[in-house]
Amino acid sequence: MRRGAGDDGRFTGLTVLAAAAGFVLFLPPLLTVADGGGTVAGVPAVAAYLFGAWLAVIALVAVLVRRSG
Amino acid sequence: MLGTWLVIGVSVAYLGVLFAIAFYGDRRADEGRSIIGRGTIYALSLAVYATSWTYYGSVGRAASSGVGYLSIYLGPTIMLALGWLVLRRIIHISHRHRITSLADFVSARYGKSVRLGGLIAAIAVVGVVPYIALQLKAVSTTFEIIRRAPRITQSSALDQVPLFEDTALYVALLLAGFTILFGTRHLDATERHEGMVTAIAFESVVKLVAFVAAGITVTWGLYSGFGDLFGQAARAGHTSLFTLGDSTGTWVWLNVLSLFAIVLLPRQWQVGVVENVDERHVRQAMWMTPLYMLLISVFVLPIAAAGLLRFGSGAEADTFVLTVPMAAGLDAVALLVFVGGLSAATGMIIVETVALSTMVSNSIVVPMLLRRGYSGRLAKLILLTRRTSIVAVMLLGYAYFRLAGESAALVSMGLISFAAVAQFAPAVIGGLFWKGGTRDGVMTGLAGGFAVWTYTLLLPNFAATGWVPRGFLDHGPFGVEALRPEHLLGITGMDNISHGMFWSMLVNVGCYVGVSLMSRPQPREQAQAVLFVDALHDPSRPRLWRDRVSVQALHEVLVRSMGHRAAAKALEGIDLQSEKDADADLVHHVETVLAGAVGAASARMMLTSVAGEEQLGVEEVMEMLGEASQVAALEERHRLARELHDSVSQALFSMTLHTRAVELALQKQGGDPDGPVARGITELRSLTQDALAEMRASLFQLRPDALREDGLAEAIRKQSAAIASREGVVIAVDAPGYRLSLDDRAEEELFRVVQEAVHNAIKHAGPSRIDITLVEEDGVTIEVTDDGTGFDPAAVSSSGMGLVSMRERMKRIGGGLVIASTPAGSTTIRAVLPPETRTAQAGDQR
Repeated sequence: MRRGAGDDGRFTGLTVLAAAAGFVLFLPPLLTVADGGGTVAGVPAVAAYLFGAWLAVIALVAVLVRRSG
Repeated sequence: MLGTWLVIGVSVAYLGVLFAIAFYGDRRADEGRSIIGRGTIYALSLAVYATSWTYYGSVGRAASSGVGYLSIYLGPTIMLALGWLVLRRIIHISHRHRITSLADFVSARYGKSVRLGGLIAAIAVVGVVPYIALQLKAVSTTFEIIRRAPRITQSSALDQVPLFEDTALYVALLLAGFTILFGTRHLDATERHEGMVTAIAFESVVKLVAFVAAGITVTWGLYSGFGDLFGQAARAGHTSLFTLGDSTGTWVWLNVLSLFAIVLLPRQWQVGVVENVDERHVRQAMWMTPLYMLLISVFVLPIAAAGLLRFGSGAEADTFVLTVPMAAGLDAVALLVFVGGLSAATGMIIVETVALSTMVSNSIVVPMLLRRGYSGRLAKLILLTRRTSIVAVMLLGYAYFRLAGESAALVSMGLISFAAVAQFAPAVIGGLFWKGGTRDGVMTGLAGGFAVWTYTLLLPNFAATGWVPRGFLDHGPFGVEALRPEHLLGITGMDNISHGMFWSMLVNVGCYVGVSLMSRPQPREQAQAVLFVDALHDPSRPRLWRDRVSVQALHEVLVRSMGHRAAAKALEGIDLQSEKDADADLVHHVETVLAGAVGAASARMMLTSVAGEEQLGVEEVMEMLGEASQVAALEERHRLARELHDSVSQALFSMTLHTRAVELALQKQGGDPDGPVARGITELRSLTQDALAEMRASLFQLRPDALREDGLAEAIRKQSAAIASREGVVIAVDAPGYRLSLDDRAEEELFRVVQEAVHNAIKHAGPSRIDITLVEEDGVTIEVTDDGTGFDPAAVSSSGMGLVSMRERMKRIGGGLVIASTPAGSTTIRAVLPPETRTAQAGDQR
C-alpha cells in the first residue's frame, strides 16, 4: 500500500516532467531555432522539428506508462 | 461521377452503422459485458476533440500559416501528459461524488452553489453553440461541394441552400434523434452512455482512416513523396508553408488555449470524465490520444501544399482535403474524405449536445423547479428536460449556422469557443489544488472573465457578421478609442485571440484569487474544498450533520427524482419501510446518488428540505483545514495512543501495584502507619493512580471523535477488533448495521460500560472468547459475556472491578446493570436502557 502510493507519486512526478519537456520543446525560444524557413530532407525544418519533438514526448510518456505497469 | 443520391445514400448508410454500433454497445453494457472497458476505446473517444473544424480547417490554416495549426494539438499533448496529475484527479472526485458535468463539478467544489452551476451552464451554452453551428456548416458545405463533382465549387460561390434542401437540417434532426436515443436512454445516477462512447470511438477511427488515406493518396499518388511535394511548393513560392506563420506570441497563446480545451470543452469533459469507467484508462490515453493527433496531422501540410499547387493561393484552402482528390478524379477517396468529415462533425455534435443538455437540465432547470417549490415526480420531468434541451441546442446551433453561416466569421468561432471554456480553467484547476478558493471568488472571476470574453471576442465576431455596427469595432463605443474591443487601452500588435485571452484571464484569475483571499468561505465550502483537494489521500468524510431523517423519507426523495427502480437499486439491502433514523452514512449515500441524477446543488436542496441544513462547527473546519492530510494525522494519533498505552500506561499501572505492595509490606513489618515513610508511600500511590487516570483520559482524547463519528455499534466493533488483536482473544460483536437513535451522552456512557466490561473480563477472567450483543428492542440492551473464570458478584469488593462505576454510568442515563456470574462458570454483564428514558433523555437534549 505504502509502496504503491510512493510509486504513484513517482509516476506522477515523471509525467509532469515529460509535460514540462513538451512545454520547453514546443514553445519559443527553442522552437525558433528551427523556424528559419529551411528544409530537412525535403520537409520544412520547423515541421520536422515539431513532429520530432512531439513524437519524442509521446514516446517518453508511453515508456513511463509501460514501466509503471 | 458522384451523384447527389449516392452521397446521400452513403451518408445515411454511415449514420445507420453508427446507430447499429451504439445499439450494440448499449446492449453489451446491459448484459454486463461492456466493450468500453479498455483503455484504447477511452483514448479513441477522447479524440472527439478532432472535429470537422480541425479536419478541414487545419489544412486551411496550414495553407496560410504553415505549421501554425499544430498548436491546437500540441497543447493537448502537454495536458494529457499531465493526465495523471489533473485528469485522473478530476475523474476520481467526479466518480466519488457522482458528478455528471463540468457545471456540477465547479458547483460542488464551491459549496454546491446553485448560482455558480447555472452560470457555468450558461457560459458553456453561449460559448459552444456557435461551435456546433460550425460543424453543421462543414457538413452542409462539403455535401454541396461533393455532390457537384467533378466540378470544383468554391464554398463562397455556394448560395444559401433553401431550408428544406439543406443537408445540415436533416443531419441535425437525425443527430438529435441519435442523441436522445443513446444519450438519454434512462436516468442513470452515473450518466454513462456506453453505446454512445462506442460509436464515438468508431467515428474517431473513421476520420483518422479517411484523412490518412487522403494524405497518402495525395502525397504518393499525385506526387512522389514529401520531398517532391515540398520541393515543388518551394519553387512555386508558397513559402508560408515553411514557417510557423503566426507570431510566437500567438503560438504560445494557442497552445495554452488548446491545453485547457482538451479537458474543459463540454464534450471532452463528457467523454474524458463522465464516461470514464476506469481511472487507469487515463494512462493509456496519456500517450495514445496524442499519438492519434500526430497521425491525423501528419498529412495536413502535404495536402495544403498540394492544394496550393493545384488551385493557387487565392483558392479556399478549407476544403482542400475534399477538392484535391476531386480535382484529380479520385471520387472514391473524395467520398471517403466526406464520410470522415461527417464522422468528425457528428461525433462532436452528439457528445456536445449530451454534455450541454445535462448541464442545462441539472444546473439550470431542476434547481429552478425546486426553488419554485415543485414537489411532483421529478424523474420523468428530468428526462423530458434533457430531451427538450437536446433538440433546443441542436436547433439553436442550426439557427446560428443559418444566420451567420454565410460569413467567414463563423470559422473563427472555433477558437472563440476555446477561449470561452478556458474561462473555467481557474475555477477547475484552482479548485483541484488550492483550498482557499471560495464561491464568491469563482463567481466574480467567471462573470468578469466571461464579460471580457464577450466584449473582446464575441462582439467583434458579431460585428464581422454584421449584427453589430462596424464603427463600434474601429472607433470604440461612443468613439472612445481606448475601449476598442480588439485593442483595449490602445494595445496593438496582438491578434484578437491573444488579446482577448490576455484580458479575460487577467480579470478572471485576478478576481478569483483576490476575492477568494478577501472573502470568508462558508463551512460547507471549506468542507468541499478539503474533499476535492485532498481527494487522493482519502480524507475521512468531514462531519456534516443534518437533522434526523427516517429511512422511509429518504426513500421517498429518491423515488421522486429517479423513479422506483433506480431508488430500489440505490437502497439495496435496506429496510425501506423502516421509520428508524438513517445514519449519517446512509444520508450521505443518498445525497451522492441523488447528485448523479439531478446535480450536486439540487441534491443538496432536496435533502435540506427533508433533513435540514448541513451543520459544521467552525473549530472542526479549522482543524480540517489545518491538517494537510487528515488520514496521516489520524494514523499518527492512533500510533501515538497505542505506544503510550503500551509503554507509559503499563509502567504506571505496575507502579501503582508495586507501591501498593510496598505499602502492605510496610504495614506487615509493623512500620508506623503515620510515620513519614508510610505517608510518603501513600502519597506516592495516590499520585501514580492519578497519573494513570490522567493518562487514560488523554489516550481517549487522542481520538475523541471515534464514537460520535461512527455511532455506538461501529465504535464497539472497532474497539473490539483492536483489543482482540492486542490481547489474542476472540471478540464477537453482534449489533445492528444501522445507527441507533441514542443521544450523545447515552452513547458515551454505554460505550464506556462495554469498554470497562471487556477490560475487566480480560484482566480477571482470562477468557478465550468474549461475546458482545447489542439489541435494540424496547430500549437498548447490551450483553458482554466471557467464557473465562467467573466470580461471586455478592462477594466481590466494589472497587476491585469497576462494577460500581459501571452501575453509576448506567444510573446516570436512566438504565440499569445486571451481573450474572458464578465462580465456576462464565460471566455475563447486561446493561439495559429502557425505551422511555431514551425518549426522555432525547427530549432533555433538545
